[in-house]
Amino acid sequence: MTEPSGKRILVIDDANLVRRFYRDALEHAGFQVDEALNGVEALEKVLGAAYDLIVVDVNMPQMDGFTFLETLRRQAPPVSSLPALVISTEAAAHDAAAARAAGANFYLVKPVGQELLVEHVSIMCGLPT
Amino acid sequence: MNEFVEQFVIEGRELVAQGNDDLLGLEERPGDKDRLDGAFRALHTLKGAAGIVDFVAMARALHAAEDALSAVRSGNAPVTAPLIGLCLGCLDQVGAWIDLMQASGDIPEGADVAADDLVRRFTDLRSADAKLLPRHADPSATAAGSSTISRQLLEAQKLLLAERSPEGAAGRLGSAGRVAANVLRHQGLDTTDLESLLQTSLLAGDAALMAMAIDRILGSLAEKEPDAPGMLMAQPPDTTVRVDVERIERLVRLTGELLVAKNAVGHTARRAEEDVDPRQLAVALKNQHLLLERLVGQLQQSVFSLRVLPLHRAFQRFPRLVREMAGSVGKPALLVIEGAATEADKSIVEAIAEPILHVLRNALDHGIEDAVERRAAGKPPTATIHLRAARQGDRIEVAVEDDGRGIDVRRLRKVAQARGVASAAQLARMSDEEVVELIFAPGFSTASQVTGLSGRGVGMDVVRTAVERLGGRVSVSSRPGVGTVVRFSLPFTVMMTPVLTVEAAGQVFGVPLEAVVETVRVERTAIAAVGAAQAVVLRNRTVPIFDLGRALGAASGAPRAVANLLIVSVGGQLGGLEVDRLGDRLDVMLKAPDGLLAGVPGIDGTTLLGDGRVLVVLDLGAMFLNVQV
Amino acid sequence: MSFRVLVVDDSKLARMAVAKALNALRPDWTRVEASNAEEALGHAKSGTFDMAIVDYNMPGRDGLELAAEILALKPGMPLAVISANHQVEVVTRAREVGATFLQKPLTEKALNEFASDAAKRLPKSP
Repeated sequence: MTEPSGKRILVIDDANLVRRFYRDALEHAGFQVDEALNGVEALEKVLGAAYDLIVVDVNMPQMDGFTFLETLRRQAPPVSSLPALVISTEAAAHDAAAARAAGANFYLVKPVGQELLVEHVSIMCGLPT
Repeated sequence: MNEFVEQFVIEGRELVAQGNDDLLGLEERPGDKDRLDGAFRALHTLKGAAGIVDFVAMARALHAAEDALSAVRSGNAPVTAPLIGLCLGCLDQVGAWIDLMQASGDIPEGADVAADDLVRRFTDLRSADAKLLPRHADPSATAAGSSTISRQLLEAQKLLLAERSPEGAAGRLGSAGRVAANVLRHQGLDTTDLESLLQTSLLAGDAALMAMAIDRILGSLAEKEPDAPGMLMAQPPDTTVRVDVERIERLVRLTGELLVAKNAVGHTARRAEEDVDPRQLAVALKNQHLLLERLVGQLQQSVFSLRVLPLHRAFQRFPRLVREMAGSVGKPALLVIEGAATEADKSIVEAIAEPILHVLRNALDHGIEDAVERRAAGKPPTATIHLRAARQGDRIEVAVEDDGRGIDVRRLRKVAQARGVASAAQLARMSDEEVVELIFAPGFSTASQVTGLSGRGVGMDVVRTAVERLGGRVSVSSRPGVGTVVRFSLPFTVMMTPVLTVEAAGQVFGVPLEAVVETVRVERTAIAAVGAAQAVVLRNRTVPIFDLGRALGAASGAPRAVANLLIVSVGGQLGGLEVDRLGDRLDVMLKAPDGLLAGVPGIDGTTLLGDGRVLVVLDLGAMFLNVQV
Repeated sequence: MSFRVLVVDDSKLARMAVAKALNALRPDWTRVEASNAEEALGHAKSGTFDMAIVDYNMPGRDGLELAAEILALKPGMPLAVISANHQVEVVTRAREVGATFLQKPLTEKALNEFASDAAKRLPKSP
């Protein structure tokens, strides 16, 4: 386990295994990780605590990732300006564009290995090399 | 070297070769699932191997490559030339790391920089917006500064800032500003300016201000230039060979038989102590000698067979290199290899790669026409080069055949005359076939234009020299408009003779090392005249001296006060060879003297040195024949 | 209690790594090695081991298919599938066939957990 980075990440995905996988990777890299199963749960969390980054899936029940992001960006600052990383199963360019229109700061296509995830999250949180 | 690193080197090399092979196959047939799986597995297993020896940087680079192929496997990405190129590049790097590991036994320093670069390039490919990435070249940018993920993140923020929807505009601007500042932080750069600018643009509600600031940051980031194509990376010779079990078992059997023979000799020796009939003893010894002779002969053969490798080892990198070279001269070409399983001695397999590559390079540069010319000639736009190998008796025949324009014999005659390779009269007597062979003449090059591939000031004469050093021959034939064939004929095995080089009268000679007993320096006064000859007394033995310089007719000034003597054993007698200087130990392939040297007494044979000079190896027996004391 | 462990991996280096870790943790246990699925199934049929550690990524049959086949011959036997990729699919499928998933490079801690758990599950006289 790397020493704590002091950065707090919210992982939003309805698949237990996927959340678990991201959590393992991020915790191992020294991040503090919270989980949410869908957009609704995620909104409650971001309004209640300060995060450094959101890692969000696209397809989820109740509120999908794009709707969640659109809602997030309409909140008051500083919640509205939370950086968000979308991880999707769709590689299509229009999906990346849709993610951007919803307010995503970056977009990765599954499968995303642990190292790739940690690398992106680290840079997006401003951690030194 | 620890056993893990040793196994890592062996397995790593095999996996790199397998990965290369599968990637090239995949590029030819992008739908080939077996090739895709094979390439993926090679990368994956290499990654695992890197993990085992704690080579973190290598594992990281391979992980990126694996991710890229993983996207292809799951149907999320197509097989493209850049993808294959990058995966191949990654394997090149891995191969180089393995070489370094083998040399030092340790994880190479500075591997992180190369690994980061590879990871970045792979991320480039993955990004859906990869096309939009800038390709600035700023040599001042550091490796860390050119981090592709960072650049991609910045690009993505620029795009996000270009979104027009008024809904959530402030949120987008704020988050983009945070990410951009974090990227700077990650790079260890100051964020004060950017953050105050973020406040200004938030207040003004103007995302464009932020986008311009990001653009300026991007402008200072750079990307590395790729390496020149078509170069064989210097590879250390393999210090391990894989041997099939059958060959080892034959050695084990032979060892068993030798043990029995040894015991029999021991038995005979004991009988000799017991006053047995000498004739009986002689018969037993003779039989045992015959048996030993047979077994030692077989042992020798078996041991040589351990050094046998398939030519595949030399050929495996060619498809890659041809692909790169063809790309760089803009002439699409396919290399078709036949007979790669043909075996030859390790030294032949290792030494032949460079000459063949030279011929392939030549074919691409001069033989093969560009696509336009090919179409006009009614040929398919993609050229084909066949590389064929086959065993013929005790020789290996290799042919490189292209379907290009052939050699222009008329032009060749002109050039040969202009460069003084042959006179007009000589050329007039020569057939076209003979003229074509002139391309192997020293200093001959018909390239009217220096190109990226062959323009290195080396001609086909270098190929000939290299092949002749191996005891091989090379020839060329050509048909106008149809193509050119270069044929190599190589020995199956090379017998190397260790020699010591010596210098006398300003010339270098070789002395068979097996004859050398020792080297001594003696005071001139210790050398005495014995009749017409000279001799020195060494450990109570009178040793005749042969002054090599004087025998060569060197104008001998005052003799040196101290003589350099090479004490050699010739036919059971010791002799002293006086030389000016002692040189190096070399393993050379001896050729019977021919041409002017044929029949000259005192010459055992000749060999070509790496620089093309002929080294004369002395026949000490003949030299000391007349120097008896 | 001494057990026999089958180690299946096409990479000799990987088998060496598992062997080193096992030797350190359970010096009295013995190993049977196989470099491919056929060899492994051969061992499974002759019943010469008590538990198995199988690499996921092998040419031909993948580790999970092999794991399923071994477990069909030896139901309930402790078996770990190891892979360098902590992919959700692999982890899920490993659980489905009744195997434990272990991440590569194998840590002594993970291997120790698997070994202790396996030893508990196995009958006391092998």
